Amino acid sequence: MPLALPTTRTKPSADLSTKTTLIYGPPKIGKSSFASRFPNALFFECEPGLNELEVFKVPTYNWPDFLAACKLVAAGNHDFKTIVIDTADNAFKYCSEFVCGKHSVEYEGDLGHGKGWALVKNEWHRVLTRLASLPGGLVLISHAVDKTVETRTGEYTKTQPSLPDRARHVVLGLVDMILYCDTITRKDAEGNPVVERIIRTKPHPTYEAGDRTGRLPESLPLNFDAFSKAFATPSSKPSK
Amino acid sequence: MSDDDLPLVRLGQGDYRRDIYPHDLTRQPRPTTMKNVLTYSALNTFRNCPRKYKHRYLDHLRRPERPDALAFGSVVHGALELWYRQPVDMPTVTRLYRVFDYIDAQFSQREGDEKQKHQWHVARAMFAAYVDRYEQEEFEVVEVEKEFQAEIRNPETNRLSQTFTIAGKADGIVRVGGKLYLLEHKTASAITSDYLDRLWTDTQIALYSHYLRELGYPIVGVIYNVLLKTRLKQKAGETKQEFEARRAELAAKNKSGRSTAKQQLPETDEEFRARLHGWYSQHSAFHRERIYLSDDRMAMLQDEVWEITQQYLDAKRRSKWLLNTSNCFSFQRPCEYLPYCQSGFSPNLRDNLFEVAAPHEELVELTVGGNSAADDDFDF
Repeated sequence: MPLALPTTRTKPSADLSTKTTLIYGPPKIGKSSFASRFPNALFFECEPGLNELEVFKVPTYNWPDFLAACKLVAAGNHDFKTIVIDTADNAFKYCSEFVCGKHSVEYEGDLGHGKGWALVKNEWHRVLTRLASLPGGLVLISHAVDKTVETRTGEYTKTQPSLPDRARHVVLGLVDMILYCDTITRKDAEGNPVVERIIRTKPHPTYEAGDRTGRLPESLPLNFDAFSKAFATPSSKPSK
Repeated sequence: MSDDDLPLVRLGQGDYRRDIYPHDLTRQPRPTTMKNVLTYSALNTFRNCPRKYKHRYLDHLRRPERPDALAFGSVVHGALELWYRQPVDMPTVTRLYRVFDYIDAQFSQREGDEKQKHQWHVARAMFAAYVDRYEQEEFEVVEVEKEFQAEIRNPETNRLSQTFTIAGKADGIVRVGGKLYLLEHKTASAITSDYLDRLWTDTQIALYSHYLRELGYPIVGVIYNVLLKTRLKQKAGETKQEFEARRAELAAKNKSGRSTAKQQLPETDEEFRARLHGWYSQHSAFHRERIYLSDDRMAMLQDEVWEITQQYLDAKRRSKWLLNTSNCFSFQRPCEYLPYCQSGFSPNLRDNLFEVAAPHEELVELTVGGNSAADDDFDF
């Protein structure tokens, strides 16, 4: 077929299996369960905790295994559409241990002039960028941590993924969506408190979240069907 | 004619090149212009990295965290401002205790925060020693934290810029032997020959001097008032295991196979204060460097300022903000915007790592009347 110039603009993809997503929140809130509903998900299991879920998983408890799993995925010949790294915190720890081992040091700081930190960050960046550029989707799971931010005028607490800053910055820059799994307490008709699990999707001074697709509402129930439905709804506002 | 229009005679001195009006003595600028205000910081940022300029001065992005160096430096700065604002005829002890009160208030969390406690100890010791050293000053204070706003001129035609004015805030203006000097406070961790050489290339202060001269202050030079920040730390003492290891090591070296070593206990606040006092009693803990400014240098700077404004206007017109990658790691640390630039300007990163804060925060009062250079669509 001869090459022709386009006559229409491409539409932003509404396919979840082409997106890169960071999901973080407190333990046992349901991050892995939520991620397991992504299209044809394959878990890179970096920490135990998937036993109660029926998922496809590859144990990746060290960085060489993690890289080997990446290679298998990149080779194709499978039906998986989404890679879930559970958790990115542990994956980064393995990355760090691997780089340190390669240079015969115990900690990144043992290599002079910040070289260790840079080597670990570069390795992390290289592998994540490669993974994100594969045809399928990528989901990274992280725990939440509260950090005190000391500003010029006072201090406040901000909830953010528990990844170290250098790893977190790479991830935040890479992902399309940052989903913060949180709980809110409402009162039911009888006035009894009811705890609801929700996903926050928009940035806020007291937590990290984001949605480059512009498809998601500010918060929605932590429920894959609700999320999927919201995501499939045409964007009302173009992402910035 | 209002009172504001009447010139004042200040300090009984005749060394100003023009009459001084009430608005020169207050922090309020002359309400003249709706031009855009440029500061040295903005100019320098644009010169070093236009992209960084865009992040900070057009998009108003700023990391919310207060940088550590800024935290300590700004407390020392505030303490010096307070010290020099108080009347010299007030008893020294009274003046000093007011400064101590200020320092205490800045480190209000020191009981539960080791870093604050350390900085509090250092700031108090530093200031007590400073007052001891400079109780009798070599200069007379004319202005403290003097804000100014001046016109930028085309050096070739001497015509005023239609777009910009320049603003700044000098730490102080002092008189020595009948001549005016700019007073610039610096905190440093060491005074090396490189450090002193660098003072000669301090464009900001030279620029301030130039514009203050235009405003009628015949500045002849700069007095750099350098206060050293000690590296002393309060000793934490050794744990039982560390002590046992040290004692075993010493015993092994001893023919008797024994050691009389005692466990090192944590240093008390009093002991640490005494050590700090000793350190700050050294002559080298403070330094005053006087630098004179040549007219040639002033002319060169004026030329540079004009050129930068023209380059800025060009970048703005074409919406091209080049990223200067040579500047990503200046001062041996990554630029605060590095993750954002590395991400290809991901909005997720922008929205989560930065807050939106007005530029030129050091000049809040001055920018009220005019516009920040960042805010507007310029009419070229």
